Amino acid sequence: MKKLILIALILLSSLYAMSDKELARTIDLAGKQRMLTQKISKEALLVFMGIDLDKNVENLKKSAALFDKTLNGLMHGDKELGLVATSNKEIQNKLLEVKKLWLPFYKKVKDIYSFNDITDKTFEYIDKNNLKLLKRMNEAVFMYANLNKSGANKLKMAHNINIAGRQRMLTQRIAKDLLLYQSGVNTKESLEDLKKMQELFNKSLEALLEGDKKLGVAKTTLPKIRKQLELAKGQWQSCQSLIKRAIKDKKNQELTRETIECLDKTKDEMNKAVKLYTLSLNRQKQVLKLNSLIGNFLNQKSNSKHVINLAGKQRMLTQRISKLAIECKEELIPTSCKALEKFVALYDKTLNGFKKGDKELKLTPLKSPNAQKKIKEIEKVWQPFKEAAIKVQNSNGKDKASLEFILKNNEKLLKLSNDLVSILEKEHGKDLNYIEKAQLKIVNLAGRQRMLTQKMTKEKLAILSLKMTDYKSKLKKSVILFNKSLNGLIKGSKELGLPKVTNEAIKKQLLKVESIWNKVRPFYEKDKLSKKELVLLLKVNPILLDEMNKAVSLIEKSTDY
Amino acid sequence: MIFKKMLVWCVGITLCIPLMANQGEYKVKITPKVPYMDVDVMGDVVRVQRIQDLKHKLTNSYAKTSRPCPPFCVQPFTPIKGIKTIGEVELVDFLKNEVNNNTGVIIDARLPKWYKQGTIPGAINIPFPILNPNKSKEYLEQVLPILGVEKKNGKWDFSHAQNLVVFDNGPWCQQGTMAMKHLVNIGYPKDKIKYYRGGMQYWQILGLTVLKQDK
Repeated sequence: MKKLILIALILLSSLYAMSDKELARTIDLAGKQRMLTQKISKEALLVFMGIDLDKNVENLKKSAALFDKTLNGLMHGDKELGLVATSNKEIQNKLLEVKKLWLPFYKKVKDIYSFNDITDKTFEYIDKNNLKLLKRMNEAVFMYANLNKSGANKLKMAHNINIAGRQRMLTQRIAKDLLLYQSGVNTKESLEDLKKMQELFNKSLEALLEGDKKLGVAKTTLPKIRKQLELAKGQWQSCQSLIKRAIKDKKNQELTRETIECLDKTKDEMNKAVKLYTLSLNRQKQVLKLNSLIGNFLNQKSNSKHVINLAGKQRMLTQRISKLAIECKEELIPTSCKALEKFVALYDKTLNGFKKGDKELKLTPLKSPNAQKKIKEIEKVWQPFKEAAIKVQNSNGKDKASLEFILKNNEKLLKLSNDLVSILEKEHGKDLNYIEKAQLKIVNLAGRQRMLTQKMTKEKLAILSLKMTDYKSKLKKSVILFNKSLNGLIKGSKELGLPKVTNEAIKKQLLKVESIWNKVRPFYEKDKLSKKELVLLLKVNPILLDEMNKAVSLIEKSTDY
Repeated sequence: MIFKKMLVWCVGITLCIPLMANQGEYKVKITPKVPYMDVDVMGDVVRVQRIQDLKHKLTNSYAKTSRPCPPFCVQPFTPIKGIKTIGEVELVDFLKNEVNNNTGVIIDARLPKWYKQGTIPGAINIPFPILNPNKSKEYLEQVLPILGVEKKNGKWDFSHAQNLVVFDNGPWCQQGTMAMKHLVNIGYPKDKIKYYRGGMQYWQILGLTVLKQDK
């Protein structure tokens, strides 16, 4: 039973769920209801005054029937009108208030067009209640508009459409006021209201054309809408003199007819402007929605790149830590021991981030079982490596056993760190498109250069300071690899599958790296270095790394290579 | 607002030619009868016109003739049978008749970093990977309704779908073709899709206005 109720509730809620398109249609039709309250009142008065009787009886019937059908549609839904009932209780209550006012109002209107009861009292009723009906309907429109707040008020001309919509109602209200004045019902108030509405129409039209900060109306710059507003303005201006004359010449039915027609034409012109505003706003909404979706999509994608980038940096850190451990022992650079602590902490934090997530590093735990398995393997090697690095730092490089441990195990840690990069690339690579795959190859190679800057220096230090001669061949290989890759990145290389760099910014950055490299390369290649030369090499090394880093970032961000 | 950051950018020159008041002032028109086209971009007007400097030459990356293939291989004139390939005049007509009436959308199918460097005024960026039904289903389900596609009884109904013009960097770029392939795979009717093969390269070669997002 509970399940059945739940299903019924889900079905009901889906019945009442309103799409953006349906909501836009609802706001439009609810907005038009405001105008209809005034149009109905105007047409009732025209019938009362016997002006174009047949035509106005028909118009009145149609307008009232449309108001009734739309109101019912707003309350219960109407397929023909494209209306879906809202589940919002406040709006439903407001619509009930409108209905309570409308039912007796509609009865009077029916009496008028059926000629059952056309007395002054009927018109007093219409006069007394039409603005109440307008007010309630207006409140409902604002409530619907509030449902549509998601970013809509940020759109250019979002308020213009409301103001332009109101202008349609104003033309009918002015017409109604004129007729009330002429028929002698509530003469003074009607004339006052007419003048007030005329002023409001003028002010609003000017605001739409030139903008009005106080009203929150933006200047309409789109030529098509401006042209339409100018047409409405021209029409409105011709109505103004007619209204003036019609107020003076109360009994001139022909003049009244002409004035009403003129106001109706103004309404139609304003309606066309509303439609143009609607088109522009709908386009803006479409762009905003797509932008938001694409933003989310890209965030998800850039997260993959971020993880791979951090894993890539871990490879470099294994070499940087090893290099700093030797530097610390040699006391060549005073800050080396302290830097050791910093980079050990960074490697540790990132590794933990891969495992458990890290807000600061913007990492969520890696889900892949392969990656988690590799992390466990890395941890086994990293823990004693980390302890050794800390011992080297605490002893200011005096702990020989720890330094030896680092030198013995750093390439093992490098290999495992590299394996993790490969796993991540393989798994995230499934989401890459063909352009990103082509770019990834270049980024990877450039990224490896960062690691090589550290590896070469570590190897040089191992040879010179620790007399580890077996590092000579390793250094030679690293230097050749760095040089070959840098040349390939700049000039292109069939062997490495690299195109020649043509992007000016990337080229400039790579040439900067090359210029530094050309200066320090002899130091790597010379068998012996003076202390001064070694210190210089150690000082330039972070600069080389930093400049290579900049090149990698540029390659990642640029559209072409 | 992001779109306040958008500015009109004319290829190769730092200052844009001011919007000209009347047709007579245009030496370089789009067609003999169409000197320019005004486009609504987020509620503001952007004039699509050609650079009026008769000595102007392209100097940016679209002046480049050669890029490695693959991936930057020359696309066939009709990469997908049934999808019509169009040129600049037809695109301007599409802007006037379809985009201005919300019956059509111009899709810049390139990745956002290209789009940000400059696009056709009035175009919307829908990067081709987001349209891939195999890799981006979650997003695709949200993109299609924005283009007027409705889901009825679990199936996509394209009867109210907007007409599309898809473009990318130019004839050497396959991002547009990929986007169209994805759209066709989903079931988007081919007669509702058009391909502007010239893309940004031909657009700029003709000195047409480029809309750039400010850095």
